[in-house]
Amino acid sequence: MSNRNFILTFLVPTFALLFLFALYPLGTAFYYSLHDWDMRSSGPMSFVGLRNFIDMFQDPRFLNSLKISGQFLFLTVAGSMLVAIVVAPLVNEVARGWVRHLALFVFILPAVLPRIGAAYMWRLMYDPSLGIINYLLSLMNLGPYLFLQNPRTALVSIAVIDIWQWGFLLTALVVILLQEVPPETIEAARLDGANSFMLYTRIMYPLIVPLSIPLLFIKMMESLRSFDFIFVLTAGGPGIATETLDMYAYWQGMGSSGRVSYASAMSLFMVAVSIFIVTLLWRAMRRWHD
Amino acid sequence: MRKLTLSVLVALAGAAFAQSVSIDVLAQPREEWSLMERYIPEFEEEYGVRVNLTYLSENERRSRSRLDASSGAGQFDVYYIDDANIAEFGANGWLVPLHDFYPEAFDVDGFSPALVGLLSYEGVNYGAPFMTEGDMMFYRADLLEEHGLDVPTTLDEYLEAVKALHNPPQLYGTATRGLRGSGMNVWRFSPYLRMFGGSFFDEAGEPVFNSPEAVQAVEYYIELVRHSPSPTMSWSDAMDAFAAGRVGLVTFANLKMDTLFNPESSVVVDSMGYALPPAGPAGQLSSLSAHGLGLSAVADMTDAEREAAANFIGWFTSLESEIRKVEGGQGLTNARTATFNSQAFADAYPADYGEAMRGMLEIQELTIAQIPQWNEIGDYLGIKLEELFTQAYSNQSYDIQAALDDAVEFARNALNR
Repeated sequence: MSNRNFILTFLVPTFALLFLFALYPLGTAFYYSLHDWDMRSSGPMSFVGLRNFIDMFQDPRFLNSLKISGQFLFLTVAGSMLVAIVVAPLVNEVARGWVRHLALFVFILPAVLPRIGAAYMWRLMYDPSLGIINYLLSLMNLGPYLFLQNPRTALVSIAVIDIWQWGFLLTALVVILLQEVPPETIEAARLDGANSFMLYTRIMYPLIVPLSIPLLFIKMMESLRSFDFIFVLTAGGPGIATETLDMYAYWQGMGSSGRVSYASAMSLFMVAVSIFIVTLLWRAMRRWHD
Repeated sequence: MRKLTLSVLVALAGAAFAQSVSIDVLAQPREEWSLMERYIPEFEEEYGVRVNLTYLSENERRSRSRLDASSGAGQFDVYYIDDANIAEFGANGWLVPLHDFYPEAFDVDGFSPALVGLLSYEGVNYGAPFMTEGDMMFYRADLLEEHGLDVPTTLDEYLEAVKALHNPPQLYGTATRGLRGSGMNVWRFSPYLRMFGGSFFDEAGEPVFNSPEAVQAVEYYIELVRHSPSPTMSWSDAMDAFAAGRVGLVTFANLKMDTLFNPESSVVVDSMGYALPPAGPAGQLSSLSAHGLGLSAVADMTDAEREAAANFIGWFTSLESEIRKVEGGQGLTNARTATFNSQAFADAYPADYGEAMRGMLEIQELTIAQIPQWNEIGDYLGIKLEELFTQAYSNQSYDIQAALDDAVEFARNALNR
């Protein structure tokens, strides 16, 4: 196969799929966002310019959803990274041989579960009257606590599940990365009198940071797309306490209002924010590499 | 041998040809559908049609059918519709009027007139009803007796009994629907609004559900929520909790009655009593609801497909199918008067069931507003109510008037959009 044919064979299907499933919907969403398609009426839609985008920033529920998305992103990314940073050295130092393999296997298990399956499982576990968590708490004369039904704790309770899935997966990946640090570097540090804390904070972690940034990057993307997960657990409730941007766009576009154009404007805004965050991270990553 | 092979092939080809018409039906998972699914192969064979069922839960079913109709996609030939979205479908011409297609053989005039009215928009009937429900009060007779309480007949007595029996986590006074949605918490709340003298809209069509009566109704409802196992229960959660013996009294749709009286799914069969819902300051009422099937005016159907879809609707909502539901233990929510007067019904249910049902029918009224904007307005009010319920349940501060004012403002905007 000639070089040109080779490129065509691999690029054409890729770009065709990209066009079909990414660019075309994006273009359509942009078109709708400038119109006023409302599913409640079957009349023709008309051009409204930027009105949907202007309305968005005057809509308190939209602003709330932005805040919730930001909080969820921060909680889940920071939480997962924190778990990985704290637990990985413990595993790396303590677990050897088959124990380490078993630990890594167990850490990966929650992430292997389908998100919706995990969400249903935790919803039952959190249940105030049937759930195992409240049952265990009741043995200590505590509770029952309404983890998902209390507007103040619902978002954190959802974030905990996300961290449970992702924190331990990241831990396993960080342990694997730590194994890549050359033993002579560790030995030299030890000889220079570095204790474990210093070893990790000064040597090991700085060495693996460039390799860890893509993990952070993937986690952030994943946190921004937690629609299915939150939908199963609270569907955005109680009230709008866990209503993220994609959830609100869904309710506006499909769920109840049928305002497809308005929902398209919100979705485009989310795409723009995602691209902005990704670009920032990308730059940070390049700086580390340089 | 060759002849045999040939005839088998011809038969197979004939069968394939006979089954070449297929229809797509959007449905909602309910016990009567699981029951009727057993008989669908019979229908398919008799009419030479393949029926493809797509099940979606209530909220998703409504939004999916709207998307399918408004976008012109027309994937579904038969829509599952209800009193809450019939106005939207009727106003937009997304359904074929029932009398234009309902097969004569299945008796279009046999439905309860109230239900036909409920599935109509501006005087035109668009849906063939197959299910109705209304409110009944279910109570633990043993516990009321133990506490020396009479069966409540007013909302005050009801709340008093709920509070007296409340002893969590062993026993909750009641279990009521808190989960948001126009067909969820708003639906359950709507008779209370009326029984306290409030309403959703005034005669001019202006939203007025922030009136002092509405605030009172929400205050009362919040008291019920506070004495429930959770502030965001679905009706299914609530009735399951009652069937499990963990709840004192509930006022709920009668459609779970069959389950409650089934010893396999209920531990309260012998200790349970039932009565009409208690009366509020402005009277006593039971909400009325109807679910039905409608023929899509959007789907691009061939004549054969259209006929098959019409036959399916006729068959599914026929007297014969209703009798099958009675015999299969799903007989209390049927839509034809002849079913309740049938021998099969008399054989399947004790006389006092029938009496209770007839009493309920007398006080049944539509409690929601049949306007195209209802789902949107109701869903928003549902969010506000869920907020209030969860805040109250967690002992946080809440402001009923502000929440209702906000929902009314939303309703005004939705009506003017």
